[in-house]
Amino acid sequence: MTLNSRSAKLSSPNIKVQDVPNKPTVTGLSQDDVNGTIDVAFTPATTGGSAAIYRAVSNPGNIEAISYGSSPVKVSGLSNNTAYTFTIKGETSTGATSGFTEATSSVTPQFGAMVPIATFNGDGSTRDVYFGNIPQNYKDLLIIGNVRSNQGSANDIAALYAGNYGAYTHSQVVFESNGSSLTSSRTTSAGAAYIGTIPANSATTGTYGYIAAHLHNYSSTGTFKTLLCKSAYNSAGTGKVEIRSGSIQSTPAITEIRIFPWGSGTAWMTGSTFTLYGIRG
Amino acid sequence: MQMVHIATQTLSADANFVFDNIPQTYKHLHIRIYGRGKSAFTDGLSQYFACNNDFGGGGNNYSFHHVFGYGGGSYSSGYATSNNIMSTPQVYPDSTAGTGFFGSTVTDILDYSNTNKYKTFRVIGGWDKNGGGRTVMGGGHWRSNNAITRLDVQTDGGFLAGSRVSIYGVIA
Repeated sequence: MTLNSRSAKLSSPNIKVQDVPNKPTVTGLSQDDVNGTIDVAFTPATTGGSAAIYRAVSNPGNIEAISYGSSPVKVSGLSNNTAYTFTIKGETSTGATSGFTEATSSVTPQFGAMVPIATFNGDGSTRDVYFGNIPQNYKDLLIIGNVRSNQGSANDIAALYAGNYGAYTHSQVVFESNGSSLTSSRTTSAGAAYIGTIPANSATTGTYGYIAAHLHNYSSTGTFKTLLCKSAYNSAGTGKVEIRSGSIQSTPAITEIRIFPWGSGTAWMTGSTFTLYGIRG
Repeated sequence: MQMVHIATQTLSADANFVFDNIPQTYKHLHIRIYGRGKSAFTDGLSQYFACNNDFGGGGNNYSFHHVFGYGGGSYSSGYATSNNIMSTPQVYPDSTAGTGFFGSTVTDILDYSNTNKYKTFRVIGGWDKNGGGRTVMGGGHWRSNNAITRLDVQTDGGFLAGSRVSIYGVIA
């Protein structure tokens, strides 16, 4: 006998047909505060039935985790420094589902408190290092550079714009030594902050300078930001070591940073590198 | 350098900081501070560390040296013999600075859990209030073989609300 589903439904009012939830959309993958855990963020489908749970599975490892309705699914037990992709699906309480999504892009768990966000490599022609869409979930930012400008002199200076450049005041105290004397000076500028003196085109071949720039409380919206820098370089017996402490007198959170060699028309020479780190806290 | 977050305290009201039960599983401690003090001293206020509740009651066990830049020149200071607390002078803005100005420091305490030697501190920090400021670098030690399990972090008059201390363990 062939069962007519329409007539069966009409004649069996106690049988409830459950809508199947459609596939959710993955909106982000991020390191959780727990070691070996990735948060798979998602938004539920706007069509189909409601999901009671969301289930995510890793590849490799087939490590499975569920969330009872809310984003994210926290997948734990992952190995640091291994790349993973994830699939995710919504299920009703009885297991009805439209199946898994396609695999996400890969993400690599790295639990250290100092998390690399982005890296720039100089090519001899690019002037602006641009770090945009900076995540707001860290306490501080740290920029580490090993760089050289192609300005036609022995040295140049690296400058930084944080956020809406020119729309705030930056002031700093510089304390430096050139090997024979200690000096200190103050600068106030509209926006751009010097972060370190670096070797330039006529410096000894192979010479690159060191810069570490700490931006405390970059995501705060209520106070000014501090910029604390160390830098050093040496070129055939000349060089500098500097410490700079200053304030970026702006309250909006810093979401983008530009770093450029101050010399007009200059660029970062090949071999130069900047890495932006987020510091958890 | 790989480091792991141990603890963060952000002040919702003016106060100082205490970190207790510091884990002993790391090689070094790395301490990042965003702070401003409550006292009035326009040259800037000090950062103080006391280890294991040692505020000098059992002897003055801290020594330190620092160099300073103030924009018009530089100078140095030190406490070569002993003091009752680890001090880095003039490293935070005081109560007379404009609204919103804070200072920052980065401090490392080396081999903090080693029970066979004194503990070494190194500090850089400073502030600028668009009209004055300091850049400070220094180092010192706590003359004790005890592992550091508690740190009191203070400034003159206490820290202003919004100040923050984050402590990290550096993996060997």
